[in-house]
Amino acid sequence: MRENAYSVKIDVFEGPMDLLVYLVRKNDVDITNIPIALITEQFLAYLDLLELMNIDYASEFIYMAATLAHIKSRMLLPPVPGDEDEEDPRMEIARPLMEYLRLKAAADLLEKHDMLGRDTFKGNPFHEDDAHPEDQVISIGLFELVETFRQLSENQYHDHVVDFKTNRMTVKERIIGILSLLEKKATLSFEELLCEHPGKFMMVLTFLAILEMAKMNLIEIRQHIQNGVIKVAYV
Amino acid sequence: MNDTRNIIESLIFVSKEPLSMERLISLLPEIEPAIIRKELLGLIDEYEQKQGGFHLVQVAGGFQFRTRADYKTWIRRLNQASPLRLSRAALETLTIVAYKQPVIRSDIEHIRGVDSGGVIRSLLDLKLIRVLGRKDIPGRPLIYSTTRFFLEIFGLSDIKDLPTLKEMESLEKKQALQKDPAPAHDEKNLT
Repeated sequence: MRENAYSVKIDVFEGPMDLLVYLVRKNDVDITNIPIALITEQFLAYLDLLELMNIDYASEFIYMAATLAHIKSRMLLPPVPGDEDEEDPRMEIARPLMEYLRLKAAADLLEKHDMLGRDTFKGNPFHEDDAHPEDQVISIGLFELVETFRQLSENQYHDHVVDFKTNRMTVKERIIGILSLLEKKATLSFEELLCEHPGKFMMVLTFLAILEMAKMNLIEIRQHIQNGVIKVAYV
Repeated sequence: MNDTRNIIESLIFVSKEPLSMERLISLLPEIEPAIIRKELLGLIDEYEQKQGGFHLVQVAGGFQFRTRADYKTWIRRLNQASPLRLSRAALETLTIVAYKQPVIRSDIEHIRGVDSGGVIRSLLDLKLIRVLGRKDIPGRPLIYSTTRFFLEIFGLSDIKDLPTLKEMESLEKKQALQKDPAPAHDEKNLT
């Protein structure tokens, strides 16, 4: 490791592909006919420069340099007899480069779109956080639900004691419990439900009960757009 | 006679979300779907003819009134909220997800040649992309796709609205032809 107390990190080129694109453009060469030796030389010179400036670069750069050197060495070898129609070894780098350029161009085009909030605006019949905060919900996917569960269980669970004596509740019993809660209160937050009975077992049971109820179409699971609170409501 | 057109206009005006044709048809059972369709197209045309401050556009599978881009300077004075800004890396990653979806992280990184975990996370936070599920291969990586919000933001009616990569290629060739032919480098300078 270097001993210098100060090191600077700049992202001039985000990755080896970016650098390669830059070199190809700078030298104004055709992608399908890349002068490998020239490009490799400049590629390595850039890495040297980074090293000189005490900038750490990712191993991807070295891998790319190795790929370039490998291509060059393959080009120097005479074609294997009987395998004359072997493709240009440079295609190994030209193909991903072309794809990358194509996507870069697509990204440029996408950026030129009229973006909502930047170039074009929609009328707001009601102001964002107006009268009906309850309406501002989106249906959520399973992954958000699982993520919330993971977060809550991380905050919650401390003891690792397994108690075999307690009478374990079943999913069915838990569903009945949640239903009676919902009868009292039309909507409940996911957090309220999960934290009602602490402990991993009860949390998992509650989670399964909620999923089961959603599957049976008893409840609706929705997430508030602004604060991200997941709510469970009677259908 | 043009009541239908006015009804449609008022519905789209009030609707928070882009109003889809299906929704319009279900809201107006008393009117023939064919008429609704015809009047809606007429309405779009009317706004295009008028060349006013806003127009009716098809976005995220529905219809919505949006201001013309020509007036963004003035609207920004009114609307202080800063627009969504995407870094180059985020834009490129988003483009890859848009074109290659359903896609896994390693596919994205393969194309970009650089670690993309952080960018993917911020795109997920912005709700421009979402997790579709897990791919049934070793490691069970997450599969990503773009969201409806992505379509809304970029004013796309459908993901198929994006020009295909094939079309991009011909565009590229056109640009290449406009430029002077590149001087051929020969490989003399072997190191």
